[in-house]
Amino acid sequence: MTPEATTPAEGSPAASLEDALRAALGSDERDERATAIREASTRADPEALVVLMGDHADSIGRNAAMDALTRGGARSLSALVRALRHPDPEVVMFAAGVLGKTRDRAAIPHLVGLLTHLDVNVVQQAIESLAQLRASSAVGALLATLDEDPWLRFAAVHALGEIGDPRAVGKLATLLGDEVARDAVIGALGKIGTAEALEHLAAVLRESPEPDAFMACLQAIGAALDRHPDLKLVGRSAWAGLRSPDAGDVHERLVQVLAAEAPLEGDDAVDVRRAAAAVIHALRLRHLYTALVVAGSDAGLRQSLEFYVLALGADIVPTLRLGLSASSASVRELACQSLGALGGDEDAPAIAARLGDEVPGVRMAALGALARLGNGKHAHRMLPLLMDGSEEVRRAAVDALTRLDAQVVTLLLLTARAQHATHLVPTLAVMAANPHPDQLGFVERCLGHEAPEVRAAAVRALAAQRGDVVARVARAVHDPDAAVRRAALEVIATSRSALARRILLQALDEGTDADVVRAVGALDDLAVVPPLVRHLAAPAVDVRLATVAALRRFASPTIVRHVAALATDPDAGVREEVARLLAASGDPSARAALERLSVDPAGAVAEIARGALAEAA
Amino acid sequence: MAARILIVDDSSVMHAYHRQVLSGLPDCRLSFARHGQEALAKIEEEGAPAVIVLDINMPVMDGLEFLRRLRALSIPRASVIIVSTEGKDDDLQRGLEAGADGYVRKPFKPKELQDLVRRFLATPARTDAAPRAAVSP
Repeated sequence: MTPEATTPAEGSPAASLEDALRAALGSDERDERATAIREASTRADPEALVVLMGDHADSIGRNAAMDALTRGGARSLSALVRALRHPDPEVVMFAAGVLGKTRDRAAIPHLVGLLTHLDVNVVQQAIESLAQLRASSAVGALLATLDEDPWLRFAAVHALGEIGDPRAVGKLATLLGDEVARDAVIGALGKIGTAEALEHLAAVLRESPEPDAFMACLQAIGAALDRHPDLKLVGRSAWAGLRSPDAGDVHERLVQVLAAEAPLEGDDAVDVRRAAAAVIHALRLRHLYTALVVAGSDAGLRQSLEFYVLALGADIVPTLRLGLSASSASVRELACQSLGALGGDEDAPAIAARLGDEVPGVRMAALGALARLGNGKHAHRMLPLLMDGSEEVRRAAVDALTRLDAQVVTLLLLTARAQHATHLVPTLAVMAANPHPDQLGFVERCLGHEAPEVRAAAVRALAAQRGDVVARVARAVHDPDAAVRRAALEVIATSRSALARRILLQALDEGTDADVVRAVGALDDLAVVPPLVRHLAAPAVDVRLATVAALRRFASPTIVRHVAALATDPDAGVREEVARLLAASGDPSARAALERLSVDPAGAVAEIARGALAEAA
Repeated sequence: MAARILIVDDSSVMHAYHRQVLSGLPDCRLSFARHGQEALAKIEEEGAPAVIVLDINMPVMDGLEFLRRLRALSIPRASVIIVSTEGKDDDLQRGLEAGADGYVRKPFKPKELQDLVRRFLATPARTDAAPRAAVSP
């Protein structure tokens, strides 16, 4: 697949490789072609790919060659630059296109040279590639093409927007009257986004009777404001003029856009409405704050609105208070959330009233807001939500009560006199996350509750209390319910105190339980090794498995010798754990067992053992 | 319901140009894909458009391969307009053989494409696969 002049001798390895690649690049099979493109991008002669790119008879091979040249990046550059002088304008156009996609900025001067090419499609492709390369050094040459035919002008406007160089603003603004290029010019000015560009856009916004231009302009202003969140652009004459009552018609249209009364559809709709919110925020148009909050009824706009509402700060608080009683649940939710951040204690009663809202999302927002305000006065109204019909609300209630003063919350929880598991479990969850010494008696009583989920929750709540809680949860180690036992064992093992070791070792002596073995291992104490080793011979697979896993943290030749004996264990899971321990030990005495395990019928076991042997070798 | 026009082109400039040219057509909704594979996915997701404006040279899946796969689908027949460059008669011929219904050559004036799209929207494509070439005026 080299060009004719340099074709290697027939039958040579190079010719075979390139012929094969060439055939594969033109394959109808997409997978085969994709593989060939990857291969060709690193191994084929780029000159040969350029030849294939110019093959008029084979469009599949031609596009595959372009893909390969693109993936080749800098490797393709020289061949592509040479192709820019090809007599066939098609080849020149394709080469120019690929140069843009390679993202190699060394191509820029060569592409600028094409801007005077006689073929208009070549020039258009060069312009597009300069845009892809964000070639600010080409701005002067691109500005000159604005005077060419409308086809090229459109491409150049687009490119100047992509490049984003402020030098283009003045010339672009002169094209705002061009019917074909106008929307592209507006978009380009938005992307450049300087104060000067915003001035022109503000003028268009005021003077555009056509909805399309107004929307395009609004979207462009939104893009410009996104790039300048510090709002240093505000204050120029045309832009600042948008704030005055004389711009009432613009304000009216902003309200229509936010209320979705303007004709909008598709992906642009959200962008334009977000832009309207950005303008209201940037210009601090107080009389439009209600429209801003009411627009929260659109879930797709909510996140953006939250940002602008919070950025407006205290100014918008009175409007948010009104929003708490809006007919739209989404607006009530926005109002709750925002007041939680911007409001004060005086807003807490109105927010608390929303705890009884019919919509779970609003109840959750109200819980979050009250927690954020840190206002414990309404905690008694939050408490019933621990048993809300919605699981999300119940979780939000636990979270909110966790963030309030522990003493206040504890008093409320204790006086609520919860009896049933449905009430006790979330109550104990709050106590676990927001502990207070006054909870202790209540939590200990819960350890004797008939419902295992309550006892498990009580163990977790006890664990959160200050001091050594081991003695308090010790009786739960013998609980009839496995989940409760596991919770207690975890708490005890975490403590690592002498009492914890004694309790756990006693439990280990009393019976064979995998959870006990794991907890004993977690003590990370050499004294537990002998009793653990005794459990390597346990009849239950899960106990043997847990024992080997627990012993992994204590690497010693003695442990390796004992564990190696389990290389013939009937259970593959145990043998796999054994292989892991022996592999991690690095002990020469593990070799014989690893060799046996390297031919284990279980593939995972054999793989671990072979890896360890290879590493040792 | 608005008729959907699907633009399949890897060039962002052409997307913008098509948007500018076609967004003014009444009762039309535009959607965009960057190559044939993305276009097929869009059709699977959104159903067959009324008209497809199709570039030939694209990465991943070119226009001709897309066209062949499109015509093999059991969906309502969309009218396909190929966007070609001067001198690409081979591509045009292959496109028409593969089931394209018309073409425009770059550079084209907005009205050329608008008229062609309008014509196809007014007389939807036939259900058979025979090509019926229409060119820009």
